[in-house]
Amino acid sequence: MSFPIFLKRTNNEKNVLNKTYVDDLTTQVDVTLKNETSITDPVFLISGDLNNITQFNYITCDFFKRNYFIIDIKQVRHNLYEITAHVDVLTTYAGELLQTKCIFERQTNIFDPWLNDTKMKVESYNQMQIKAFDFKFHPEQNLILSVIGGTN
Amino acid sequence: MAFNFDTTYILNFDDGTSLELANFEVNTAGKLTRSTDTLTFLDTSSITNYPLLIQHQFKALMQNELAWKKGIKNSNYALAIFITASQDTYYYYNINNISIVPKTAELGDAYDSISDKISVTPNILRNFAFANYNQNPTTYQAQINLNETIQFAIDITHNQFALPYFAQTNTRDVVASQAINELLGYWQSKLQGDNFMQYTPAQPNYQHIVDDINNAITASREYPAGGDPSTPDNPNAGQYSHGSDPAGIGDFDNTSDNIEVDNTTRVSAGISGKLLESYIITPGELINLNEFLWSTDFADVIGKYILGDPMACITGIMSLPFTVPEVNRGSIYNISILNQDTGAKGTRLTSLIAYIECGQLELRPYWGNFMDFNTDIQIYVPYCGTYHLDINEVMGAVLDLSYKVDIMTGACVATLVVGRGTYVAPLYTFSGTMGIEYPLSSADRSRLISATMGALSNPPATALQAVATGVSANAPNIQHNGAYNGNSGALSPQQPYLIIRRQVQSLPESYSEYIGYPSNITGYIRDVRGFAKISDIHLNIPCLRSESEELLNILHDGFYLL
Repeated sequence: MSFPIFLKRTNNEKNVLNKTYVDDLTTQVDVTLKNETSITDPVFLISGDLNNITQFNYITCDFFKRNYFIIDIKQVRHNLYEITAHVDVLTTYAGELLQTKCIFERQTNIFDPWLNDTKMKVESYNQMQIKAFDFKFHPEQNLILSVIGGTN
Repeated sequence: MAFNFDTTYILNFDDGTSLELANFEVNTAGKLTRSTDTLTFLDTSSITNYPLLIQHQFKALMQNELAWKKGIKNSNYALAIFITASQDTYYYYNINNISIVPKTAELGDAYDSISDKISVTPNILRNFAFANYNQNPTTYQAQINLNETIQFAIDITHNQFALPYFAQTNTRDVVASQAINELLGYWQSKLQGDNFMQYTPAQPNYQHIVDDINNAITASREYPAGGDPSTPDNPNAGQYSHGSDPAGIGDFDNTSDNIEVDNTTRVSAGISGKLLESYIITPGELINLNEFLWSTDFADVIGKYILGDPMACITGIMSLPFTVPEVNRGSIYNISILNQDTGAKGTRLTSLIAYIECGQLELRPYWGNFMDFNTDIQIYVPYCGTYHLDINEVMGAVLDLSYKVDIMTGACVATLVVGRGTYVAPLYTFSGTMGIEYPLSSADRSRLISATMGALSNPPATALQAVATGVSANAPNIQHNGAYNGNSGALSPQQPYLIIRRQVQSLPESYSEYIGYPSNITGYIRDVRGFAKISDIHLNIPCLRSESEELLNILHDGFYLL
């Protein structure tokens, strides 16, 4: 049984949820599955003349409703390629994840600046600042005399 | 085109939608309230000049929300940003950059032409960093308290429906407005396939400007991961919070009673009656008094035979380091001793406790984040010593220092009143002795020398000593408290001051983009951009167990949303 997949190229890291793709390179091809293949680590067999197959690093497979990283590409024989893939769970389930509530431990924009940041490094030197109150004493401002015996 | 209207104004559009413009201001409680002042919207011509798509969005969006904060405190100009969103379920926007340009720049100037004038103001950035996110698709607001023409550079991403707009306001009115996308381009998102979103610029991309500003910002290591420095007690006072279901049954009553400092001087010199009397006396009058004491009549008759020593009539001569307040002063009298008029004149003291106000210092957070609470604070109190202050008690507070001085003995107590948030209270008192006491006999002199030498051998901190200690990063924390008497205190600095020693954060460029800041905030993943690391999540996704485990690992380790 054969079914179509989309060969793609992404320059994003694997832990990017919403990956972007090089549009011009996206190619639809028909594949068959190698025997006893896994849905999370499938091995696709592609027949055909694919000169640019080494440019692809990503697969979208509607049949499995999953997206895959291309782990390895082997040329079995002329015009037959074997692509080993691993499911990209982040983008595969991006739709559900985006609707999910969670507690963020660290975040770029939503954060509590008053939480202690153990990853923050501090310099070995300290910054000194002196802030003076306005008032200043002046020695010998007033002479106070105390005597015994009261007023006359 | 100009509109002038009172309080509110309704703009009716051709498609049946309407837009209400209203004037808002910030009340003393920091809440946005509707103002009764006239609102003038001078420049709306730009509204009709946008491409149709933008224009339609503007109209649709503006009917949802329009609000701005007025500049408060010291501002004559305020700039408000409002970003609105449609009813779409995704509301993604980040304000990444903000720049201030000098007064010479005119609103609407080509941005490139003024890019060389861009300056970065860390305080502004801090405010923005704190406020740059709203969970709900309502209105984004920020304000700047500068007497300058201000131009924003904003990178708004990932929301095809959000339209940022900015308005320049003077004290009361919006004087100009312009869509942000005119300056920095407009990013449009589109759904591709089932799960993938791709963002492509639908307008000319001005990313290079964003990059320039980013570089300018990150070049300044002053840019902290900070919040609103004026509200350290309530860092999450926004739409995000720590939740409303705390694991406790306390009443969360954190109200405080204000403790007033008694600044009265009601301890009168009444003991004087006929026993003791204190005067403010000039050096010249002191000479006159001396002549009287050793005059033949007084010295031979009263001093010699009754007291044994004429100087025994004088219980003390002291020089105080401040001008005795008027409230303590009585009239000028001839000084009497044992009911004998000495002929010397002095200002009689009516009360013996002088109150001296030293002023206030506001200890505002420097970083606007947790680093401020790793700061070491000491206070030098003349005639009392140098003391550590608990940073948790004084950060973000107004410190008010005052003295009460027993004029007759020189004994003093300094009180530091701390005002912060809901309380104003005297949290610190320091005792000491003030004034230079003059010896009246050889025995007095020996006593004073002994006391002064004792104080100097265990000296109070001088300014130099304090600074020298402070600049050594790993130096042990030295208490500068010393044994003071009035004489040694007079040899020390005469002005009270704070010694602040703070840690310096080493903040690499794009720190927040790579690893974010501590959050502990609940929210939807869809609402964030950049780096995110999740501590807790309940996945309800129809996936394989192995996939679920891998997914959890990734979420816990951290991931990125472009």
